[in-house]
Amino acid sequence: MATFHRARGVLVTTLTTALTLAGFAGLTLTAHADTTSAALSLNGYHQMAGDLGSDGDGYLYISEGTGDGIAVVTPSGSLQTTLFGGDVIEGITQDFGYVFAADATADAIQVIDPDTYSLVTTWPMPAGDIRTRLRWRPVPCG
Amino acid sequence: MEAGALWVSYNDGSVAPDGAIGDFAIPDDPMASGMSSTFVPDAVQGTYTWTSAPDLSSDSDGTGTLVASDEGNSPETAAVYDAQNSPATTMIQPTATGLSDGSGSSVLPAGRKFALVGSSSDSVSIYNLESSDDFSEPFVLPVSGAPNSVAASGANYGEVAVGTARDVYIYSPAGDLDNVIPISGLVPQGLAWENSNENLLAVTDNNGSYALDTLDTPFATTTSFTITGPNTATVGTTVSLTGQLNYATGVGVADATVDVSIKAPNNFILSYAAYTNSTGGLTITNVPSTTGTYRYTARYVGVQDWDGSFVETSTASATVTATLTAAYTPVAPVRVLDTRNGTGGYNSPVGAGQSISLQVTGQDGVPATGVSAVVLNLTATDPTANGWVVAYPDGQPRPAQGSNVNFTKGETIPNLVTVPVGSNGKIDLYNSAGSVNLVADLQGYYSASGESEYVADGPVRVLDTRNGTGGFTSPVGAAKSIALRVTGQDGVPATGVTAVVLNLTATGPTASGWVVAYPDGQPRPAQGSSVNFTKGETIANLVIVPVGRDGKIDLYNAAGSVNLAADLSGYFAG
Repeated sequence: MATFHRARGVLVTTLTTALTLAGFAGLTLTAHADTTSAALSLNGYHQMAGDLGSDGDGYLYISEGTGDGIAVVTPSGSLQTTLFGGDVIEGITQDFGYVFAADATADAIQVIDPDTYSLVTTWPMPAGDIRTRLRWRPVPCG
Repeated sequence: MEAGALWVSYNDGSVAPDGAIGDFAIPDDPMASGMSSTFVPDAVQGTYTWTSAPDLSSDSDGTGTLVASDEGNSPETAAVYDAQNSPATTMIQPTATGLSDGSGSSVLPAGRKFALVGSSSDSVSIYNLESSDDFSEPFVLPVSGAPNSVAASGANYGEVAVGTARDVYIYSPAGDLDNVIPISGLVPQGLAWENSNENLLAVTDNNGSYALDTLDTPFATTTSFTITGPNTATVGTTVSLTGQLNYATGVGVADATVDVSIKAPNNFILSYAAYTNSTGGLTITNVPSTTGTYRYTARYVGVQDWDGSFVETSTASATVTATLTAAYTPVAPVRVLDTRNGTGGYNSPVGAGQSISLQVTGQDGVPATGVSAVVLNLTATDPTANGWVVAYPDGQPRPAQGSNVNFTKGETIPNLVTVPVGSNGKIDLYNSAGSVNLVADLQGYYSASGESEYVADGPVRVLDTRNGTGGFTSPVGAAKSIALRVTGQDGVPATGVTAVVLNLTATGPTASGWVVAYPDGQPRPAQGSSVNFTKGETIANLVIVPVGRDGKIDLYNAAGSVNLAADLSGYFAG
């Protein structure tokens, strides 16, 4: 049985699991002052992905799902650029050095270079498809 | 050559009933191939049907786990696929766990092989994909309110962030609730960890106005643990050490329990728990009861990983050498208490939870005033239960923790104790359990006008009758004594030494008995013992023995024969 402490003394709840926490009676971590990006303005939210590009800028790709394309922002919320403005981006993910966006307006998957924020290629999908979430799935090479 | 696939869920009305999953094959070198790919519908469908285009999640570290979940379509909730195979195979469909929908999913980093599925029932469930036994018993992380977003931090971290309408919960890989971050008036619609895994990013909804929040250092990754304190302390005076539990990310810590053990010079180990404050600091206090080196060790046991192994265990130690500001005056051992015969004013065992007060000044060669502490060889005998005895100054509260003699039922066992004296010249002896007879042999006292100061030396073995160390090669016979030279060798001056400090060990006794140490050239004490033993037992005790004029001490054995060993750890010189 492990006892979990809710921060700031509001709630203590108990969870029965197979875990044993010898010599550990609970640990509460207090976050530092959190920050909010006042400058960032979004019309909605659908999905976001972190930037694993080679430049390591750590930018976020946020799809609003409202026909406003993709907002490329810094972790502090500063808008860098907007991609596919006017398109409804239903899903967004990244891996393999690219960002993939499901563009419901263009009926296609947009492949983006995260270092330059430029379009690499477009993979068409059958017309009428509604793409929602998408994720990278690696398989063994060979 | 295929290197992976980009999975896409879709709904175009051509699949039954409404949702399906397909993929784009991605080549090994996508740039060289121009990143061309063709959509393959229904590549993963398995036996599961979707009522809408499902939410997808997969790990990015190569374990090939793909999680699909319906969003708001009950009762069909989620499915997990092994995407390493082609076609992918269904691993689990955790619909029987009470999840009312599959709103959100995430996959923990490679190697952990847990899938995380969001729920609308005030909890998030985690499934161990390595064991089908766990499919029906998910690891449940409780939250307050329906979770609407989840995110697992990257490789080798495994913290899980869960967003609800009011708060963001941070769970450690062990399932410990590390933090709850209130986001007043905001709804965290989406969560993502920074690449450094230190900060959590949240897109929050404030009545239709969206913002990006940075939740600063919401979890801890590694710890460091230190203890610092003085190098020296004074017997009878509180020594205070400071511990510090740190997280690499600089997160504040509260309520962490730390196991502390204190190893006294007589090898007795006192254990207790300390607690860190809001900055991770903790204080360890102790009152050294005797001279010598104390070792303070604190151990923090952190979180367990998902596989059950501890991932954060930190240990720190510090040593403090306790000395005396007052000078020591040894006396020939004299019995000042024996509850078996009325010596000291008590003629019955000390009961459970009872204490007795013993006058130790103004008699037996101890001055009436100016005495700060006395040194006694305190023996517990005939205990009716397992327990312990603690000695402390009369007129002061009994120590909340600590003991001087620990015994098991029926055992006779001594220990050398240094006890600060109360303002009335008395000490108290408290018995924890059962009843026990107590015997105390006065060895000396500390006072400002004392004749000797302690000098640490060794430890060095000055006697071992098993191998000739000290000049004796055979056990000490019954009612026999040996005279051991202790000055002019092993760092002990030839002159000016009033007493030596020895850890005296009796081993291989052929009968139950006792040994007493006393100055050579003086009569053996009529009463008193230094080490008590039963047949065959090996047992040690710390002793302070006045030295005879010839620089020798005598060791007398009462019964049977016994081998003796003595390790010198210091001396008193005046």
